[in-house]
Order: sequence, then structure tokens, then C-alpha cells
Amino acid sequence: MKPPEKNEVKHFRGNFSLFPVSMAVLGLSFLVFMFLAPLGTLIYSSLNPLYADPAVPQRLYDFLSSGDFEAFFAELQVYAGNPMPAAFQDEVLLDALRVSLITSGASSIICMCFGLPLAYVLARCDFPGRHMFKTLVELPMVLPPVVAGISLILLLGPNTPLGSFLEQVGWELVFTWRGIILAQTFVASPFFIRSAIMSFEEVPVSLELAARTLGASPLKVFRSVTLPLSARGLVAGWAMMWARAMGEFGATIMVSSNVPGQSYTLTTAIYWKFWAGGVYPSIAAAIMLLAVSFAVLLTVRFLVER
Amino acid sequence: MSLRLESICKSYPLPTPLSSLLRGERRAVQALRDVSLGVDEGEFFVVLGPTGCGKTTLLNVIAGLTRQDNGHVFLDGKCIDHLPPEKRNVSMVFQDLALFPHMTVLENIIYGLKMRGVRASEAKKKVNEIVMELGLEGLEGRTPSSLSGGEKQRVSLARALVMEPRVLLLDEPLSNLDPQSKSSARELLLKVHRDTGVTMIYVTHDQLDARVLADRVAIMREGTMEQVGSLKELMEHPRSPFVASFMSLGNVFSGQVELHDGENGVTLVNVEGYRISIPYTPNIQAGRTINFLVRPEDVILAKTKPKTSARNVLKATVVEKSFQGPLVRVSASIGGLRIEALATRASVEYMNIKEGEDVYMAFKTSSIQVLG
Repeated sequence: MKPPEKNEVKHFRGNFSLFPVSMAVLGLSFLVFMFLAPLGTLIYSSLNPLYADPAVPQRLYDFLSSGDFEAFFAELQVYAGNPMPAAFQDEVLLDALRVSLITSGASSIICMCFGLPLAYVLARCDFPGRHMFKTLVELPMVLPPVVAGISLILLLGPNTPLGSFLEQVGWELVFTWRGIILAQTFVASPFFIRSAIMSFEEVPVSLELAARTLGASPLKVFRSVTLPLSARGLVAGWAMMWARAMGEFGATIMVSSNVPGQSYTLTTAIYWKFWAGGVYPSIAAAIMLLAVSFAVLLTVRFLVER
Repeated sequence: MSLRLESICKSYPLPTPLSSLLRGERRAVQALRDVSLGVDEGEFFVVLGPTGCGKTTLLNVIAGLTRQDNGHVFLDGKCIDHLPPEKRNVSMVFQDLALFPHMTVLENIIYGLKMRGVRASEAKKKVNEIVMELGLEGLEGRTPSSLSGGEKQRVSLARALVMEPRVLLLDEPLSNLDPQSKSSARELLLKVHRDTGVTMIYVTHDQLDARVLADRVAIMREGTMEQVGSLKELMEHPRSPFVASFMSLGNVFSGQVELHDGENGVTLVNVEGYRISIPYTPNIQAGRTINFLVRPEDVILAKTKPKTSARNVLKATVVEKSFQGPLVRVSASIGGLRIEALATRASVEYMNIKEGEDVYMAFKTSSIQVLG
């Protein structure tokens, strides 16, 4: 009998089954309602200010009814010409973006330098308490970031032994941009470490042993065998970690001094803008964060898939 | 002597409950118990044993991948205990072959030379030689995942051989091959051994590998060397029932000595209620348990009670007939006893031996080998 050729393979239409259809319906509806709808609305409201600020029609009506036509036209002018482009040029927001990029970049570098060895040790070395340490490393993922903030303040705050020593040296950590880096590293590094442990564990030990018998020193084995084979997981985990650091809020707001341009990240900017003026002023910061994070994740996915 | 092991011991810790740890007890599995071994220059040495007998640990100790608890490893007379694996010049072919999946065949083979810092032109030359030797031409640019089992096995062998090792260790390299590739791989190994003269230590649980390849064989059991010797020695004089059954030499019986008469030179053994006469063995007492071997080729089959000088004649029921080339292996059972006999196909047909029917099985006292 002739083996079936590739294009002879029966397609989906050929044998209709309810299962894939229901899976697709459930999955896609989740995608639409949980992710696309909220984020889409965010983007839509940045294009259509009237949607984001429901008080506007009321205000316009009030102006009209009170006969204050001057105020009415001024308001109308503001919202007819979209003020969003101007919001993106807000100095405070641009500074916050800069701080966010620098601090999250720094914490991802710290995580790479120290988290990578930690993950390797936890994946490869067998020692008592290993599983407890693996769980400990994952703990910040489920812990409310506020708890991280409290812990860091208790350890490094101004009235603590370590904190006052650092203050004397002139290296205060908490309530400065350094504190933000610390908070982001604490909260976000588990995303990298967890993924790194799994990637290292997936590299068969026999490959490393074979490389050793072929004359490679442990460092060379790591560089030529372990690292290339776990690269995908490392890069993916690193991107997740970075994005998480970028979006970190709970711990950041507790350990930062919220001085614009110094320790004012995009996430805290969203928060302060929201408190100061409601949803509408925070849209620009939210969009900025969304765009940067999405771009980075997409780039990494593209690199990893390739 | 190329490689010498001196009373090597190795144990691995087992997960121990906290309560035992507090009492100072540690659980461990003894993988190697006082193993001493000498392998000659250029020898094809096969270590044969069941899974979990410590074969792989033995190779790991030689390669330096595992540090022994006790004992020493000598290579060319020099102790190499302190050397890390990359400085031992001992290559290994792993059971899963351990080809680097992110490298091409060529990169896999040249890897070791690169690590050793051999000049590119020289490395290329050596790789080309080995590629020709093992018939890997045309596969250089492929990745390991696109190779067949036999090809992968040859690449792994090439990668180890290109290092020109003092000793080549092979850890069940054929276990994942189909029977046909297995036999051609064995031929290839023999050819490589002939051409390079490299000392090979080959670990396997397949006694066929030992029969085909070995200059000398070691039978390993639970971390100890049960018997070491040439294939001929092992086949003709197995030292223990374990060796006899692992080499599939035939029927291994165990029974109590009933009568031990030095004057008449008679020793009778009770095996599952049947009395079997074995050659007179000095230094045993009645009541002791003794093991002995009856080779299936020494068992005479007959449909009617045979007129023979053989002292042991048992009437048993045939349970199984299996064809093995020109011969038929007939297994018959009587009580709790199972006896196998080898006969030619013609004679089995002539006697019309069928499963479920009774046959007489006779074997001479002199054909029995006492195993101790």
C-alpha cells in the first residue's frame, strides 16, 4: 500500500467534532473578555476622552444650563482635540518612564548576576533543605508585594541597625531609587529563578558528564553545553522577570520617596495621577506601561521562537 | 597492565528519615564493595551484570565522574584518584549516547579536541580520519536528532575515539538499538578495537555482547566481582550458580547432600525430593546445600526409558518447545523441578515430542558440574 502523502491528511472539516469547537469557544471568549476587553477599552479611552471621563457630559450640561458658554466651549475644545498626545509629553511622566526603565533594568541585571548561580545550584546540587530553598525562592510570587515592602523597611529602614549604618555611609536604600531596585528585585526575581531552575533541570546531566570526559572544565561545560541548551528558558524567564519588575507597584510605593524624576516610577505615577484627578489623567501612563511591556515581551517571544 | 583498580568501595546516600538521622543512622546503598580489577593494555574487557549491580558506578569511578569512598585507580601505573575527568584521558560512550543536541555531528566530534586546545587544522584532520573509519561521511552537517539509532551510536563512538583515549569506557551503548543494528554495531566495535588497539571496558547486561566481544569477562553482582576470566573459563568453569545462570549455561539445581560416601565415591543430592547423583566432591558433609550445573546439551531425551549408563533418569512432562536455530530447547517439569534439554530438530521430530507428553531425561553423573 502507498503511504499517504502529506496533502492527503484529513483536515478539520473532514471529521467534525464538538470537542475542538467548544475548546476554541471557551478559550477565545476568555481571551476576549479577560484580556482584550479591558486593555482594548484602555486604548479606546485614550483615543476617545469622553468615554474615560463620564463627568464631562454632566459638566457640559451644567455649563449650558447655567449659561456659562465660555466655559462650555473651552471644555468642548479640550475634549474635541484629543489632549492625550500632550499627556505623553508630560515631563513628570517621561521622567517616571526613565526611572522605571533604569530601575527595572538594574534589577534584572542583579537578578541575572546572582539569580542565575542560585538557580544552577538549586537545580544541580543535592543538599539537605534543597526543596525548602526552592519553595522559599518562589514565595515572593504569591506573597503580596506590600509584605515585601514591609520586610524591606524593617530590614533597611532609617531606624534599623542596618539602615542607620547605611545612612551614615551615605548609602540609604529605602526611600530612594535604590530601594525601588531592591523592591523590584525581591518581587520579580522568582519569575526568572523558577524558569531558570526548570531549564537547567531539563538539560540531561549525562551531557555535562560527557563534556567533562571530553576534556572540558566545569566552566567550559557550563558555557558550551548547559547555557546554550537552557537559553530559551533563561531568556523567557528573564523577560518575565523584567516585565514584572517594570510593573511592580505594591512594594515600590512603600519603599520609594515618590520624588518625581528620582523615585517616581510609571506604576506609582498611575497611582498618584489617579488619586489626584481620577481615571482620565492616569490613562497616558497606563498606555505607556502597556506599550513598553508588550513590545518587550513580543520581541523576546520572537527571539525565543526563532 | 593499563588500568588497575584497587579495592574500590562506593556507597550512595539514600533519603533517610529525620528520626533515623537523629539517631546517627544513615541509609546508603553500597554500589561497589571492595572491587579490585586489572585490565591489560589493548584488552576488550566486558563487565556483565544485571541492572543495578554497580556497573555504571564502576565506569564513573574510572572516568572520574564519581569519587570512590575507598581504594585507588591506577592508569599506566600512576594513581589518578586526584585527577578530574577532563585530565584523565579516559573517554566514555554513555548509555543515552549524550550527543549534544545543539551541535552538528561534526561539532559533536570535534568538541573534545577543541576543549583540549588542539589546532583547528590538526583537529579537522583527526575528525576526518575518524569519520571515514566509522562510515559517517555525509552526516557531518546533520543534527543528532535527525540521525538513526545506529548513526547516533557511531557518532558517540567517534566523539570518544577522536580523543585517542588511554581507556575507552562503554556504558551499554547498544541497549537502545534494534537486534539487526546491534549485531552490525558489535562488528564495528570489534573492527575499531582491532584498528585502534584501544583498551576498552564495556559494560552490559546482555550476555550475547560478552560472548561476541570480550577478551575477558567480569561477572558483577551487587557491587562485587563474582568471577573474572576469559570467556572460555567462565563457560567451562563457572564459579557460582549466579554465573552459570547469568551466562545461560543451563540447568542450575540446588539441593541437600543426602549421602556422601568417600569409599565408593558417591555423592547423592536431594533436589525437590528427587535424588540426583553428582560427581564425588571432597570436603562436603551430608546435609549441606550444594549447587550444580547440568548443561542442556548433556541431557539425553527419550520417549521410552533409555538403556543408558547415565545414573540420573527422570520422567518429566514437556512444558515448552522452542526452536533455536538447528536445535530445539525442550523444557520439561517434574514436581517442582524444571529441566531443559537441547536436541536436534530432526531427533525431536523423529521421537515426536509434544508439549504435555512425558519424556525421559537422562544425564550422566560425570557431566554434572558442582558450583559450590
